[in-house]
Amino acid sequence: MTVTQLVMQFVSFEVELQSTPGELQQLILAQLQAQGQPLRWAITAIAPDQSRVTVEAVVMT
Amino acid sequence: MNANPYTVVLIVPTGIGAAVGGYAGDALPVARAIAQVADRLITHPNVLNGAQLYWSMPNAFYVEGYGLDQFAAGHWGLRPVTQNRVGLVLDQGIEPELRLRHLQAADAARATLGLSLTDYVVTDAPLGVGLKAASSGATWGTIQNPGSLLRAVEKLVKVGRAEAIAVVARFPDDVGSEALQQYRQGQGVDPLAGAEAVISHLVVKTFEIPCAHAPALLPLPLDPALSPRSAAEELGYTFLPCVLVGLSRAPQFVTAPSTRLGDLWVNQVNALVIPATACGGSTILSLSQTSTLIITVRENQTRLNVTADALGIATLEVNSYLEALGVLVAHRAGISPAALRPAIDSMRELNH
Repeated sequence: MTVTQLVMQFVSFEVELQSTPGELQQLILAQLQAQGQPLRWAITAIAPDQSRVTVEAVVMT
Repeated sequence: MNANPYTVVLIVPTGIGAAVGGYAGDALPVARAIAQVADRLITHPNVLNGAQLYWSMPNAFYVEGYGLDQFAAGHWGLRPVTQNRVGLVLDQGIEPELRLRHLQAADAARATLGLSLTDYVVTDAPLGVGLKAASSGATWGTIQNPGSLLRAVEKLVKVGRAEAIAVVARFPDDVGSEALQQYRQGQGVDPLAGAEAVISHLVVKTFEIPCAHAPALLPLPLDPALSPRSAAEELGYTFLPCVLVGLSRAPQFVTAPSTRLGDLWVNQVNALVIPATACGGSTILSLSQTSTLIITVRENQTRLNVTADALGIATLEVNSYLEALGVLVAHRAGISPAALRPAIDSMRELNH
């Protein structure tokens, strides 16, 4: 197993709230994949006007 | 067990300061109560782990968070086991005396509880645990040497034939910190929780076997103001016994092509119970797309304010876990919870 180059890092970003939870989940997963392999993530805040959500995550790169 | 076992998932996300379950395994009474009204309870280490304290329930499935997310998404199933052979990974950063304490805790679990463990592995480098408190109030964390952890697990699986993995990582002692003082008083957010979660998530994601984590820390000075909710972590020298007990019967993960009778899949889940302000995780988002009844509990406040309503998730919100238990009993019996209230609205014609 060649795993010596793995790096674990914390990331945070915002995405637009979607009309269904399923669409929101897919959008978040796509954003996470662009930053690495997601290990753990959650929506941790919702904008006061409910237009966007904040996602916090740890990814492997 | 009946033909359609009533199955409940209980989640108390770790590292967000949940009033119930944010401390030392203090959602375990909730889990015990739900296990009495359900045929099967699926929950995660943060709920069941009380350091030296644990309560082994024959109908409880101990499923680490990454595995729970995969299960809820329908990617993995759960296969009950009679016993797992548990492999123990010790961080090279643990001092010799503290390492010996953990080995003796593992030997005690073998001798006193009859658990099956493989020989242990020490990582080839210190794991380098780093802690982080995010702006949301949640705690997260990383390790500097994930490759070292994965090499140790690989050795346990390939050479030791381990079926589940307990990881003990050396966490920073931060005796004087305000976060620790608040935690010991049953307030604030567990400063270690986020890092603990990513360690086990990495192992489960990579090897697709059960894993849980116990932090190695030096004993804290005696605190007469210690909260009962945090007290379980100050009974001894390690947090390891609950992890070994949980892993010893944790279900194995299965993928669709190899499924067989007795495996549990997401379409068999009847209800989810979760704090009302912590609805932004992968498991609840997945279950919201199924017929699962989602019960949110208002009284279990957290540092977050991510409500189901704001995300468009349909739930039944209750005030307390006592009320949630009543809803589960009614749901299981096929009784609408609304029928147990004094006022019932009349039917209306459905318009589209």
